[in-house]
Amino acid sequence: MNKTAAVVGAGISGMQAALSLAERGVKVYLIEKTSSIGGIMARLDKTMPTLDCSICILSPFMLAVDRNPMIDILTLTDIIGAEKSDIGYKLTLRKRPRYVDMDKCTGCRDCMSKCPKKITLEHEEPFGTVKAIHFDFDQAIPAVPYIDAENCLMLIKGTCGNCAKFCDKDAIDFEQKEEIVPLEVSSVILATGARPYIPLDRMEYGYGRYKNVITAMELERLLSASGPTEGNVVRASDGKEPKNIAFINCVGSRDLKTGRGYCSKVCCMYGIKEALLVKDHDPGANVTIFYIDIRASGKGYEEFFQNAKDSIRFVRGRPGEILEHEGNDLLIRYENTETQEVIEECFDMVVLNTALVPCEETQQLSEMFDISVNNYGFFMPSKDISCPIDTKQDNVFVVGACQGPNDITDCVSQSIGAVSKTFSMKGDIKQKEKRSLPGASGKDPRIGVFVCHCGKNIGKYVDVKDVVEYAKKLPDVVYAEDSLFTCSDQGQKSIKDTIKKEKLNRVVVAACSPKTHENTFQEALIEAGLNPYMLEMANIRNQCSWVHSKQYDLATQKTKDLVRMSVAKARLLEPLYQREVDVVQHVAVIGGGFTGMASALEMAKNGFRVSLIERESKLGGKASVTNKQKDGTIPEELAEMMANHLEESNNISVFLSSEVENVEGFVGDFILDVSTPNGIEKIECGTVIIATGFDSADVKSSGYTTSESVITDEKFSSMVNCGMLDGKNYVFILCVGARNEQNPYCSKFCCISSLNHVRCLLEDKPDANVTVLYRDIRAYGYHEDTYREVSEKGANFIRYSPEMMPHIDIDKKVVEVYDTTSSKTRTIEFDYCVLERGAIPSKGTTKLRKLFKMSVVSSGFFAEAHLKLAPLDTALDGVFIAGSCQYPKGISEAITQAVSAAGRASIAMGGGTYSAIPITASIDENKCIACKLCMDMCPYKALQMSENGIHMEVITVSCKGCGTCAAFCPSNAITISGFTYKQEKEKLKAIFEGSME
Amino acid sequence: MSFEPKILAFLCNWCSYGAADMAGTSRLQYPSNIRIIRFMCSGRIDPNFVIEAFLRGADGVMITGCHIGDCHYIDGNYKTVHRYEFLKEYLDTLGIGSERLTLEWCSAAEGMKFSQKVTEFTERIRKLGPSPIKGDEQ
Repeated sequence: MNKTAAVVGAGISGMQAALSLAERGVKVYLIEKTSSIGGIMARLDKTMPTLDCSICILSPFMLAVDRNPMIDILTLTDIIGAEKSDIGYKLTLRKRPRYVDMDKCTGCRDCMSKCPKKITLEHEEPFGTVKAIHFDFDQAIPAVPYIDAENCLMLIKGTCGNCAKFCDKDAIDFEQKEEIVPLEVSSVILATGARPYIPLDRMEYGYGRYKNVITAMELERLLSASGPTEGNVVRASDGKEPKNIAFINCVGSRDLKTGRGYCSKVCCMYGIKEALLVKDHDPGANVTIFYIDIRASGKGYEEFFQNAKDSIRFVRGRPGEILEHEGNDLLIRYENTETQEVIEECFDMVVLNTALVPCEETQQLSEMFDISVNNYGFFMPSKDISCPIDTKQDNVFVVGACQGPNDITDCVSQSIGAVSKTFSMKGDIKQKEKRSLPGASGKDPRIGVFVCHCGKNIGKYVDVKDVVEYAKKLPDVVYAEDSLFTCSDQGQKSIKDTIKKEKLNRVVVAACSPKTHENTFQEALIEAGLNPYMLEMANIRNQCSWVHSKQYDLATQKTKDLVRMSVAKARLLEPLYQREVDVVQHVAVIGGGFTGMASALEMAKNGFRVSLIERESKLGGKASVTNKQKDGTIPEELAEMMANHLEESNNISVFLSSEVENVEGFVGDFILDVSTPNGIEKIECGTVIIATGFDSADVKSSGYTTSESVITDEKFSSMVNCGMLDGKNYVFILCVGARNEQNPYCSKFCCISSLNHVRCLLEDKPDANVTVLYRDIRAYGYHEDTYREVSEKGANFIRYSPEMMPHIDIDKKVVEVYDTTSSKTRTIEFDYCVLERGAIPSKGTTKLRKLFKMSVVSSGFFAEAHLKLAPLDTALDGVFIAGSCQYPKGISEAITQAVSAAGRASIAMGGGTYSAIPITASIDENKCIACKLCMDMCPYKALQMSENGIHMEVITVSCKGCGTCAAFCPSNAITISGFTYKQEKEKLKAIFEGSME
Repeated sequence: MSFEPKILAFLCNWCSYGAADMAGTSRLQYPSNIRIIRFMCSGRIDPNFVIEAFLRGADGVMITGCHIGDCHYIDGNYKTVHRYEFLKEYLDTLGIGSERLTLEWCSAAEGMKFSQKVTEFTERIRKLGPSPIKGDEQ
């Protein structure tokens, strides 16, 4: 029996799950209630903290889902029934009518221009309208519009029918009826997401009554180039650009009045992002953010926040009330909790940073599948710590924002984790089919140039139309056009159609970076019957519009130069073919903490041989220095249980007191030299998962020293675990060795583990006097509940400023701290003062980084391939990262990533082969003088003397295509495919051929 | 009209091209005089490309790669260092001047460094004025 899966919800979580399952050969039914896949992310303008254009990084993803033959997309579909069956679940689906025939429609949009009925979309009211027949957003997939039955004149009254009259393809079908369809699958992944809270019941903010009070999601649509105002931020009352804008945080979250006690986790950061984007659109605008704590706890978030302080005003305080003022301006009354002043201030627009709340169907689905929801209405995993995505049903998983507010990175990790768990369940996986690539077509070059506006990311800073006209005049260019998003379905369809219509045999896409989008466009070429290597990209966004955004003319000129350079190279492109590399079915996991152990167990479940390498003499990492978790899990016991499972497995070899000393090879066949107590062991493996965790920062970097009463978090934990605490007065100092000059990032987990310390302490000693000295309490997500719990139990929280670090007098056992909320210096006695330290990259991370030549971010943690969409991959194929070596995180998040990294590794290793890019060296035997210089230069020993001894030859399987040999060859006998001397020389010449003035 | 130098940069695919991309996503502004050619490795940059660039009319050439020890291809950038030293001597001999060539290491996470180095190098070449061999190729 082949495995099949239903993925419910097609936002980023659902799409990621579907694509990952399909990559390994599992048939997927992707069930989506709206008319398009994409979810919330498709409606965002940018993502934080990298300010990537959201739809640009998502579009390739959506298209990959659409074109994957293993994925059936079922839009406008709900699950109305589920019952257990022999293979998994029998589902009953309700497919609502689209009233447009998906097979006939070409997405030409003629119908939309003829439809007389205007409607507004969610989050776009009152700024813009669409028609009753419409797309939910421009880049929707399937790229077929749908008719909103409640607003269609034909469907309500039987009049009109314009769309049908004007459709050449006869694709409109008013007779479509709702269908009830059965579907049996072996597993179900629920990825139904969350929705932005609509703050109508927060009367004091006047949303719905005051025209210029909008939600962050509405602003997001205004900022988006494909939104209702095409990227212009305007006031609803008068269409003017606002000059003085306020953002209010925590609307609908951290708020027991509305029943939502949790922290919504993403709002602080999206608020800062939107504030910066408003500034980017209008540098003259004044932007203020009202906050309680800025919870910038994630990779790159703290740095993003600190940089934003230059241009954004941050005011600590939760506004009590908004009043409408003359000219629809808004008066905010608030208390600045840093100065204790009550202030009234006027703004011309107010943005409410609203929480994520559960979707309507969460409750129904939980009943249908008999899984739990928490007190806020989100799905609840069966065990928070050890199985963060499992439910009480074996074959049902919950991932992404449907289990609570999550950022994109966490959604992606959870989704791939669920995928890995699906792989390891019983049932077969269909083997991947190998495909052969199209060859050359046509003799003379016929080049098509496609210039992307990238919404406003290019279009605003470069005269794209002018570039297109210029491109048309370049040699061998037979066609040039521009499009809003070339990477969208429409954009790619246009490339494919034009290839056929104009008999193009080479394509230049002038858009963004080939590092992110080359694959997407290569797929389009393949589908149109062209070899994928007949593509050349001009990076006119990252290398031009974004970095010369204040020099319109110069940027336009440079764009022309970049297009001319790419056309020059494109004329000489030749077809290339992928190489299949065998993959050793063995994975090395480095690091034996929770993350490493969880990865190893998951890989073994997936049927691979595993070697787990740990530098210490025992497994468990930092488990013994952590206290009992909120869900009752005792980390030490969990670690022991996992270690036992490892030992029991026949597929896992554990190397303790061992370290990797040398790394050779590439994906499919790495060879690690591991020093073990019994000497050097050579481990041959196809992929590597790195899980080297973190070390704690030095207390000295914050000017502290430890003593018997001034102790580290680690010491405190072990004392709690052993019941050795005997004092009554406790002071906890947060952010020790974190968010300072030496380690400017936020370590994310320390607020959480500190709150856990306090909780355990108060459980043990309810009468203890507990004071927590903090800068911002970053109790994201449900950790807010713990924060509230310990506050209610009497823990006293005092906010200090980093300019005046609390002073510890070890002899007198007192801490002096300047309390910024009351502007007073306080002296607090203690029996124990606990220094809660931040995290730094572990020794192992520093060492492996050198061995694998991996990139790290400025904080020293490993750099992932993409912070949002590929958090587990690295720049190195076949090497994955998980847990705190990627960025400090709690046990639950680390275990999610561990399982997820195992999913990525399983996909890379499944099927036994790996397709390597065909960039390699080749030698012209006639030119080669057999000097062997190339042989000496090659780092991979990929060159050898021919049998007859008169020329060199390339061992193609060993060649990685770096081209070092070619640069040294004295007779120019070596060619690097894809980067030949001739191609690059033409590109170089082209720079100077135009007017680069 | 003031002199606007023409600057050509060779970037390796793995680190410095990533740095240039990141400079873009971070919206770090730098002078628009630079034109980029991507190679898989800085070790691929044949001295001929550099000489060719000057002959064609470049006023400055920038080579960037992964930091020493971080090369995606083990040690390609060590070879770049040697070649750079040789090229500088050669450029002096030719009368072009070694100060018109620069070598910088940028990791994929160093968008800021990339934009700074491009800005500094552009300013340096602007001060030096046009390449002395400009126009000789005609």
